[in-house]
Amino acid sequence: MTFADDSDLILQAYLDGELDAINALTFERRLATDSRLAARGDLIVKLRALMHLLLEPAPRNLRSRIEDYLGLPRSE
Amino acid sequence: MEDDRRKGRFAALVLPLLSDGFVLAHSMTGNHADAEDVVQDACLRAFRAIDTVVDSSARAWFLTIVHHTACTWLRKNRPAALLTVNELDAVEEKAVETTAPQEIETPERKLIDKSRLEAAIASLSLALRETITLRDIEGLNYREIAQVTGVPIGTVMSRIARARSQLIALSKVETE
Repeated sequence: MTFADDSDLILQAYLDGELDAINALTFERRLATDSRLAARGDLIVKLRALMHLLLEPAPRNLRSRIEDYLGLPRSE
Repeated sequence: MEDDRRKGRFAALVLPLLSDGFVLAHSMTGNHADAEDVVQDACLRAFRAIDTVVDSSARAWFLTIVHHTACTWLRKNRPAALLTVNELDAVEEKAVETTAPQEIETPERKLIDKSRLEAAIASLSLALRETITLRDIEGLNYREIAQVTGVPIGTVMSRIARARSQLIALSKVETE
C-alpha cells in the first residue's frame, strides 16, 4: 500500500467527517485491523491539531481600515 | 436609506468574517501586508454584491470572493505563482512521489513548533496551501472548499491528502 492510493483518501475523508454513517462504520472496522493505516491516521490527527496553532485573528486595525474604506460607521 | 441598509447588512454578515478572509489571503500571498490589501479589495467586491448573498452561506461566499481577489492580485503581482490546474497537479504528483510515504524512522519523539510548521506550509504549492488552510485552519468541509476554490470535490480530496503527506514529511510530525 502506498499513501497516495484510495485508502489514504478514504482515511482523510473519515477523519474529516466526510463519510456517511455506513461507510464510516465499515472503515472503522478496517482501521481496527490495519495498524499501518491506523498509525497514519494518528499522524494526521496530530497534524490537524498542530494546524490550529496557526489560526490567528486579523490585525486589529484591519476592521477599522475596512470601515473607513467603505464609509461604514466605526464599531470601536 | 438604501445605502444604510446595505452597509448594515455588510457589517452584520462580512465584518465578523474578516479573520477568516485574512487567514485565507495570508495563505495565498504569504505575508500580512499583502493579505490586508487583498481582504480590503475583497470587502469592496463583497459590499458591491452584498444583496446577492444568502445569510446562511455568507462565510463560503465571502471566502470565494477572497479567493478570486487573491488570484487577481497574484496574477498581477506574482504571475509565476499561478500555474494552471493541470500544471499544478503534475507538479504536485511529482512532489508527492518523492515525499510520501513517510514512515516513523526513530522511536525518539520530536517536538514540532509553530515556526517549523509554518515553514512547511510555506513550501507547499499555492493550491495545496490554500486547500489545507481552508480545511484544517478554517474548518470548511469538502463541498465548501470545492465551492471556494472552484474545483471538483475529488480534486479537493486529492489536494488535502497531498498537502498532509508533505506537511507530515517536512514537519517531521510523529506520534507519541
